[in-house]
Parts: sequence; structure tokens; C-alpha cells
Amino acid sequence: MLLHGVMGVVDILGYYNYWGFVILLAIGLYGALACENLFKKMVGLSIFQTAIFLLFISIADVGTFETLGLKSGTAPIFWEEIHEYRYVNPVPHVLVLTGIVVAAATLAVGLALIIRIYREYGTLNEEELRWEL
Amino acid sequence: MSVVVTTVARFILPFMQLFGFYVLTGTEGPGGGFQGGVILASSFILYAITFGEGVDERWLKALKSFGLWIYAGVGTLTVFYSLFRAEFLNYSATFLSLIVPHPVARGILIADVIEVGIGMAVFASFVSMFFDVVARGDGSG
Amino acid sequence: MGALIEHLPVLAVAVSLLGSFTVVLTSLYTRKAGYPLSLSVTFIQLVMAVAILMNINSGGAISYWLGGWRPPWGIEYRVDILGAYVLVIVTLFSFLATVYARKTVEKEIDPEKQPYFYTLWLLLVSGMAGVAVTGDLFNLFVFLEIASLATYALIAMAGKRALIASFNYLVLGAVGISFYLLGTAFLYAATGTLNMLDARALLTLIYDSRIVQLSFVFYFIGLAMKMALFPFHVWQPNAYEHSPSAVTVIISTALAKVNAYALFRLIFSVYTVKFFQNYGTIFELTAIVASAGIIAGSVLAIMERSLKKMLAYSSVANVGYIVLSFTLGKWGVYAAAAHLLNHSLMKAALFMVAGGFIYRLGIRRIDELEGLGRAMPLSSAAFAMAAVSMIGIPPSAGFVTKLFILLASLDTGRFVFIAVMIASSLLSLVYFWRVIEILYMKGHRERMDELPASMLYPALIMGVLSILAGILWFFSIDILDEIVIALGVV
Repeated sequence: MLLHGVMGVVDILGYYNYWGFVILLAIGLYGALACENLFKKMVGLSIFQTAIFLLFISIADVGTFETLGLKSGTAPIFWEEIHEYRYVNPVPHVLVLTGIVVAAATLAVGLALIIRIYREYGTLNEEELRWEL
Repeated sequence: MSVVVTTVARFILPFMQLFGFYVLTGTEGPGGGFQGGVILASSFILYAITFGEGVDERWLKALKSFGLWIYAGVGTLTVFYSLFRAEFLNYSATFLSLIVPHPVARGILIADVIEVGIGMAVFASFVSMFFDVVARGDGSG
Repeated sequence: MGALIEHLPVLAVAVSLLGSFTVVLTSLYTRKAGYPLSLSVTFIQLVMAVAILMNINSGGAISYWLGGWRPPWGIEYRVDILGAYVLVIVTLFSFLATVYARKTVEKEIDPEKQPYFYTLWLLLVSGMAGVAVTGDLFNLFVFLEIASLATYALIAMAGKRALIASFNYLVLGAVGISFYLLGTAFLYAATGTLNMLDARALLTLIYDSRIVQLSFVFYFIGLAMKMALFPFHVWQPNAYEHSPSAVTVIISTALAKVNAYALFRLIFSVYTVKFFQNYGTIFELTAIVASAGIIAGSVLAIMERSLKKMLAYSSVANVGYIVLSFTLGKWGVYAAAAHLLNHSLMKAALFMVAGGFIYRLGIRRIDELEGLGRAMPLSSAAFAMAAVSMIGIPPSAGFVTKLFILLASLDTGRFVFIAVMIASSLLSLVYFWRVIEILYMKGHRERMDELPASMLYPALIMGVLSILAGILWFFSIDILDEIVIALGVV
């Protein structure tokens, strides 16, 4: 029983990348929606999107799904000497690359808007700007 | 800018650009169009920060659209040139078999051409974004 | 030329991408190339879309393997009858908005920035066309982001307040599309594929998995934020109000429908109706949220004093109609598919005339519209015809949709939605009648020039079509039957 409990705790701690994903998701979403400064909203959005990329990479690592220990997959390159490694699934990595480009473009448009808003209104506080609308 | 910064920048810029070109052709190694383009852009931005010189806007506009034209154009070319028998961006289409007979090598060649196109477009976009932000600020740089 | 038909889905997207890059290149020499290029490109896309629709009638679906790679490892473009129908809607309204855009862009945007306007415009059109033809979930994300980023920049081109409106839209839109990406991540984790058809086949085995249900919830919330469904609609009134007039026309007609089509595709083609029959509460909740949106949108429209904001709240209510009809079975699918076209017809006319009033007279508030019914009779007639259709008087387009939803409520036995539809029709009568009364029965202005021809004729054509749409739908109802069969809703 005790061994079962200890193995359960090791199991939960083994999924540390998913914990990181959840914490970053919450921080980013809170920042993007609840912060008043426009720049902090962009940073929160960036953290939120990074959390999603972390999820993609975590699900790509097919080694840790099947074994209880922390043995994980390796990069998909052929080595002639070693045959028993599990290869990491490269498709989510490709999705993350595309996602990073999209997130970078969103950040660029958002920052350009922030610069012009600052030049126009002199403030980056959302509450004050709402009165302008 | 101080002597330390200018000396280090002058020394490191060629290596940055060489690395950028290596990452740019990323079909058989790490990297790809976007990554290589960003590294090349950062080399230009480093030059602009330390030495304070800019780039002609018209060149950037031309590079941006020409690079993207290469990408979409090669894709459409595979459709038209093979008389509508090959799909969009089908790299291994037979129409280039006169130049490069081996189908996998054909694919890698065309993929590298496309990566160069994307790299040009990304490079021009990031450099022009930097100059837009800086040029209308307080006038420095 | 038979082989050309197969490549049309890709060419319809690629031609406007190439057009966008060409506008930037020609901007080095001349500033006036943007409009003719956009007009010709959108016209070519419209012709291609109609050709695809004609061709699909005879055969099933066009399945196109991008790059020659076989799905599910490669990206597949799959155009069935619903996709072709939505592609025709998108390209038709993009073409009409481009025709409309000429005068308003000349007046509202700096001459130096006009080439960039048309660049972004063509990118927006290619993004929307890409969503309509794609058969891959991640490819849909990429095209939807292309369209959305172009929209954020287009809205912001109008200057002062539009910057804040566009920024709010950017934050909520980016959070929404990131939720869509989260849904894709969970779907990929559960099934291992991104292709829509393949995911449909693999999902039938695992409907009771928590990951699958969670992924649908994320998809729904993400697309609801982008469609401006009720609790997430807060960005829409400001974005529609402050953006340039041509941009308001294209995003209210084409972009909103493309987001609704994405949800349509996800509910019926990926997570099929069987999934929701096992978990009926999701459909119940969706119907409740959509009904709340219909009532809330109509009530908020009544309280508005600005014409474009009132029309934006009316769009919030109409998106509620579409989402409500997803949950109502076979007649609901008829209603949703019909409303994609009907609402675009009506809103195009309304926003074109509203933008025209701003262009000609600088008038944004409803109180200032006094007497324009007599001063600009044709323009006001276009507005009035579309308003009559929105209220739902037979045989207009709005009536067709409301009839289908009533039949769907009777068919599935949920009579509360009949009350919702009647209430929303009465509320829309209130706010549209207010405008018609001010236009025709108050104040007195002498006769003045109408809107320019490039703005007036599209609005008039849309107005007339929205009145006659009931008769036209009566003759072309087979397309709705085919859509229902293609989606497998029985």
C-alpha cells in the first residue's frame, strides 16, 4: 500500500511538464484578460501561447506515456549503433514551429498598435482608454 | 556607442550572418526559413544599433514581396508547369527531371529554394519592423 | 481542362496571396495599382468558386493532397458541397466589398498607406478562402490566423479610436484562437491525427474520453470568442464602429461566416451528431447560451445611439441564430446554412448604406439621419429593404431563416425557442423601425446627390436580393438537402 502511494506521488511528480503548462496557462490568461496595462496584456498573451506550445511538446514525448519511470524518447535521427530508443513524435514540433511564427506575428501587430496608441493618447492604461471609446 | 561594443560587433557580425545562412537552408539539419531569417535580421539590427545606419526602405519592400513570391510562385509553378498533373508544392514533380534526376534530391533542392524565399521575406519584415519602431521615436539611431 | 477543376481549390487561395505580394511590389512604382488588382483578383476568385460549386453538384467532394503527400500525414484540402457553398459566399462578398471599397478607401485612408490597405485586404480574402477549402484542423488554424491578423491591422488603419478597438479585438481574438489551438492539441493527443476525416473515424471509438470532451469545449469557446457569441462579444461593437467602412462590410459578411463555418464543420464533420447524442448536455448548454445571446444582442441594439454599433449588436444576435440552429437537428442545419447567406445579404446592404452616410455626410448617430429618406431615396431604400428583411417579413431572407428555425423547434419538440424567435423578431422590429421612422418620417432635407455608384449599386442589389430571397430559396432548396446529406445529419 505504502509503495503504491509512493509510486503515485512519483507519478504525479513525473508529469512536471504538464504542471508547468497548467500554471503558465493560468498566469498568461489572467495577465491577458485582467491586467490594466496594455503592455502587460501582450506579455500575458505571450505566456499563454508559450504554455500551449509546452503542451504540444509534452504530448510529443511518447516515451514517458508508457513507462512509469522517466525514460523519454530521443530525437528522430538514425544512429546505427543504438536500436532500442523510442523516437519522439516530430509532428507536434512542426506544429509548435508554425505556432511560434503565428505568435510572433501577433506580438508584432500588438506592439505596433501599442506604440501608436501611446503616441496618440499618451497612456497605456486600459481604464483610461475605455473612456476614449 | 563605446569602443567595446563596436569592436565586438564588427568582429561578430560575419559569423552571425554565416550562421544565419547555415540555419536558413534547413532541410537536412536544424533550422528553416523562419529561423534563418530571424538570425539574419538580428545581425542587421545589431549593425543598426551599434553604428546607427539604416537600410533603404524600398529594398526591404522589394525583398519582402519577392521572397514571398518565390514561395507561392514555386508552388503555383509546380501546378502549371506539369500541365495540371502535379499538386501545389509537389516538390518531386517530374518536370525538373532534366536537371536533377533523383526525386529526393529534387525535393531537397526545391525545398531549399523555398526556404531562401521565406528567409528573405522574414528578414525584410523584421528589419523593417525595427526601423519603423526606431525611426519615429526620439530620433536617435 | 478537366484537370484544372481539381486544382481550383488551391488556386482560389493562391491567386489572392500572389495578388497581395504583387500589390507591395507595384507600390514601389505607383500608388494606384492596389484597387484594380484587388478587383480583378477577387473577381477571378469568385469565378473559380462558382466553377467549383457547379462541379461539385455532379460529383461528391474534391479531395486535394497538398504537395502530393497522402493524408493523414499530409495536408488535405477537401471541398464538399458545404465548403463550396461557403467559398462562394466568401468570394462573392469579398468582391462586392472590394467594389464598395474604392471611394471609401480614397477618403478615409492616407494616400501613402493605400497600397498597404489593399495588401492586407487580399491577405484577408486569401485567409478566409483558405478556411473554406481546407480539410485539416491545423491548416484551418493557420488560415484563420492569417485572416485575423490582417483584420487587426485593417481595422487599425482608421486612426485614433480604431487603434484601441483593434487592440481589444487583438487580445480577445488571439486568446480565442489559442483556445482553438488548445483544442487541437487535445484532439491530437487523443487521436494522433489532424485530418478532419481521419479524426472523425478515430473519434467514434473514444467518445466517452474526457480528453475528447475537453477538446470540444476548448474549440467551442475559442470559436465563440472569434464569432462574437454572447458572453464573448465585447470586442465587436467597437471594432465594427471605428473601422473603415469597407472593412466593416467585409468582416461582418465574410469573416463572421467563416468563423461560424469552422464551428459548423467541427460539430458535424469531426465530432459527429452521435457524440452530442451521448452527451446531450453540451447541446442544451449551447442552445441556452445562444438564446441568451439572441435576446441580449437585440436588447443592447435597442439602447444604442450609433448606427454602426446598433448593427453590430444585431450581428451578435444573428450569430446566436446560427449557433442555436446547430442544436436543432436536420431543419436546424437547413436554418444555419441558409442564414450564412441570408444574413450576409442583409448585413452587406445595411453596412454599405451606413458607411455611405458616413462617407457622404459624416453622420454616425441615428438621430442625425432625419429626413434622409427623402434626400437620398435610393440609398435609404436599400437600407429599408434590408431592415425589413432583418425583421423577418415574408418573403424576405430573414423570414426564411426564422421559418426554418420555427420548423426545427417544432420538429425536435423544444417549444421554448419559438418564444425566443418571436421575442427577437419583436425586438428587432423595435430597433429597425426606429431607424426607418427617423429616415422617412422626421425632419426635412432637400434632395441631395445619392451615394456614388460603386457604393450604391452593390447595396441596392443586396437589398433587392434580400427581399426576394424567399422566392429564390424556394427554387434552390436542393442545395440545403445536399448539405444535410453530405454532413450526415438525419
